[in-house]
Amino acid sequence: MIKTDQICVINALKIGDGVEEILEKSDSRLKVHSIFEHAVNLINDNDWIITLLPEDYSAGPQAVILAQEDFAKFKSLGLGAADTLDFNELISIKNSQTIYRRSGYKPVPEDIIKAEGNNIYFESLLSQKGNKNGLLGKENIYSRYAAPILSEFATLFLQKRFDEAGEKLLGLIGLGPGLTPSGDDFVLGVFAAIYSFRMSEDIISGLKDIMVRKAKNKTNIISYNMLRQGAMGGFIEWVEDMADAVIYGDPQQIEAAFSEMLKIGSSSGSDISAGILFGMTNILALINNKEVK
Amino acid sequence: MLKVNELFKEELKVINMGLRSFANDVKSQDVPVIHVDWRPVAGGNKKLSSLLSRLKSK
Amino acid sequence: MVSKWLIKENSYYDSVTLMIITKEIEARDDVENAVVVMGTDLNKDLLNNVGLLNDEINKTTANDLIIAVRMKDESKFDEILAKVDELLNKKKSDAGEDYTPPTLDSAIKYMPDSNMVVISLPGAYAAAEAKKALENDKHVMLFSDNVTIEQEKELKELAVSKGLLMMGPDCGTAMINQVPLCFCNKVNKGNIGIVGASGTGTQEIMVQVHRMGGGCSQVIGTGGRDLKKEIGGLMMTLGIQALANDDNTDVIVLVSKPPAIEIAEKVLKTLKECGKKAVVDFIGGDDELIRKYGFIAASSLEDAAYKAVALAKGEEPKDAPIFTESEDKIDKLAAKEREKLASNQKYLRGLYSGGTLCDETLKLFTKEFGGIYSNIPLTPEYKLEDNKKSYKHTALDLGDDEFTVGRPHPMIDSYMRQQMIVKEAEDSEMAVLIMDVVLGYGSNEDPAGSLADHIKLAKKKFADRGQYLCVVAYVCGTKADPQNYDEQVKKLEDAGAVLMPSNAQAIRFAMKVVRGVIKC
Repeated sequence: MIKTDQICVINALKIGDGVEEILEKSDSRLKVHSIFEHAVNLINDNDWIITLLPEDYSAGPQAVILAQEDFAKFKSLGLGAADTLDFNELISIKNSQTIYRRSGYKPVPEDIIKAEGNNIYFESLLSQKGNKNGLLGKENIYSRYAAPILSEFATLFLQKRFDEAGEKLLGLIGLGPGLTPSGDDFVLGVFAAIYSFRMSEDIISGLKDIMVRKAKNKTNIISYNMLRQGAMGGFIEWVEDMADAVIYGDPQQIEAAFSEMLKIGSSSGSDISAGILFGMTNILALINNKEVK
Repeated sequence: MLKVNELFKEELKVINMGLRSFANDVKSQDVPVIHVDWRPVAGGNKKLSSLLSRLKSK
Repeated sequence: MVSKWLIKENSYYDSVTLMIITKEIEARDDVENAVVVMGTDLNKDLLNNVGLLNDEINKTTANDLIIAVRMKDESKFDEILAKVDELLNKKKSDAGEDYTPPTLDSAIKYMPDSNMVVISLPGAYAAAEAKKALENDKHVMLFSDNVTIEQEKELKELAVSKGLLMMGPDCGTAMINQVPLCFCNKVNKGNIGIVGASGTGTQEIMVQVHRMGGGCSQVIGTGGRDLKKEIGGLMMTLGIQALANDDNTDVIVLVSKPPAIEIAEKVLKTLKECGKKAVVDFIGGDDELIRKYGFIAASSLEDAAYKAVALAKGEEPKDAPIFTESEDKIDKLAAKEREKLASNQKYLRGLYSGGTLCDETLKLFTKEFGGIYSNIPLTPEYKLEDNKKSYKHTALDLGDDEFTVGRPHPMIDSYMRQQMIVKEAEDSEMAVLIMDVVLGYGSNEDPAGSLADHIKLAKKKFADRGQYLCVVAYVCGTKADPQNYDEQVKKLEDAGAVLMPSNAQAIRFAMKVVRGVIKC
């Protein structure tokens, strides 16, 4: 354990709404999992990750946002992968602002026509400016692999066979390049669309359970944490903004949200967006089908 | 206080648009720099290389 | 084709780094394809589909990184491994360089704490981008010219209203927080701040300050037109105010071509309000006006530096010595050069890459000799009919438009100067050839080397004719510049040039050689 007598406690600025639970479950004892330029991952014995980020980075449910100097201070402690620490001795979350997920608190969208128009606009924006190295591209081995899976998903989803559709999504986990593989990002985007659209619980639970139970072995632990939260409706703010913009916003908001998305990883932002687009397209098809009946 | 004076107290972080060599020079001094892969809007002047030939006397 | 691979267990690298590695490997001619992925089941499936799966890779878990390559020659795999290691250990700012966003907006989103935008786009687009940058509260260095004076006014007014720097258009030299930008030398840190409307003029002053043991706090460029009536010195004013507020600046140096009286007064008034010591070089302009406001006038760029360094040390500013070496020694050297000249050799020819250095030469020469031809003459009657055909005493600014159409600037590329040296060498009436060699960021990596052979060639031509060519050169640079200063000097000396330690001294020496030949 790192001795922290000489170290002043750092005050967190903001925390995601899943952080306190993780800390309670692990008695605040965490291990350093991985260190990046702008992020530090701490992990507990149950493989739940808390991510430390400097301010100006988008916060997710498992994120702890620190002021720039404090983040630098934390990194300068010289902790390395596998070092253990007592979170509460180094970082105080007492005065932090909790960022709550929005997905449970939105009304069901009323203007479907607008959402349809937005979706078409979003599609053209993605094809112009998205990073095509992952699933967004049409010519690479990953998207070719995914194509049949996606069309099977679409069929099942439209037929309301949500459990089976969920299994199809599972078939994308771990696929492709990136620290968070493209397939994982794509699936996250699908969930973001579903939650932002305030889909009913029966739809969600089918998809959610599969992700939470079965995805763990198919991808790395960092990506799994992201997917598990996404399956439960927790996303980083930029992702929620993106999905909200497509459902409720206008082209300017969509463009602005997409510019933020492009900041995420290398192709992650584009892959998540592609997932949102795919999710939206299928949701709209499902709704229209309902109305037709 | 002028924003310039704030700049004097900050770390210089550069966005470079145009000649890539300027970005490379800044980078070689360990200064954070992003080079913008700028394209003119449709119908624009594609002779970027002629920019070099039009450098005025310094 | 062979398959090679690398596994990094329990290794987490951010996606941008992984993407860069993939691109770097795939860019190689000898690589058919490369896959850089985490060892998830699906990715292993894919590797199998492309024939890159093997037992070792199969054992990886989703938390391991796989780099699998199909390449022609496995002996080259070590190169790839070395490159991968280099990229995996790079800092993020390096990885960021390979990410080139397509617009200013996306660049700002990627680096929201950026504070300076350097623009060298074609003029038509430059102004719009500069405006966007200012609207986003970024300082701007606008290297491009071909921006209209109306656009310049609009940009500078916007900048001033926000207290931002709008350096340019046509601003080639600046140093902010010890970082040289565009064409600029590396100099010591110190308490002298410079605001300059002329690029190589600024460079010469910085370099001389450094040489004399002083240093610079900030060097702000304003662009060549700042002191015109339409602009009214907006950026020079802001620069003065900024240096006035800067605790690290004790002495301010202003340099520009002579401005119109009312602009000069405006600028000097602002300087007075700031209350710091200052040296002003209006390169050949009205010294009286400067002294009227209580500031020190400079008779040359070197002199400006000399006086600034004295003020910075709290000493009395005296005039810079005519020569650093004793005048006796210089006279002997000049005599030595002169006696080798043939009787019909009379003229000075200057080939300059720095416009202001050429301008200073024209002024110092005109003061002594009464007139010198140029493509940027001091008075119209000394304009050359044909810029490529020197007449009597001539000094050319090879950075001017006519010489740079379709060619890089002479500070970057010596081709035009090489051609002109050969051309001048045909003229048996030439006695002295003088040139500047500007070092620093932005400049050619070996300007002296690129000129040395042609200097030797020119000297040989004269020798073959039973004559002698005196070559005088000045290296505008410091030992901290990216080029090796000592080597640059040596290359020129080895080619037979006489080196002087400043632009002013170089032309003074050249004049001594020529004066001995011509009665003036």
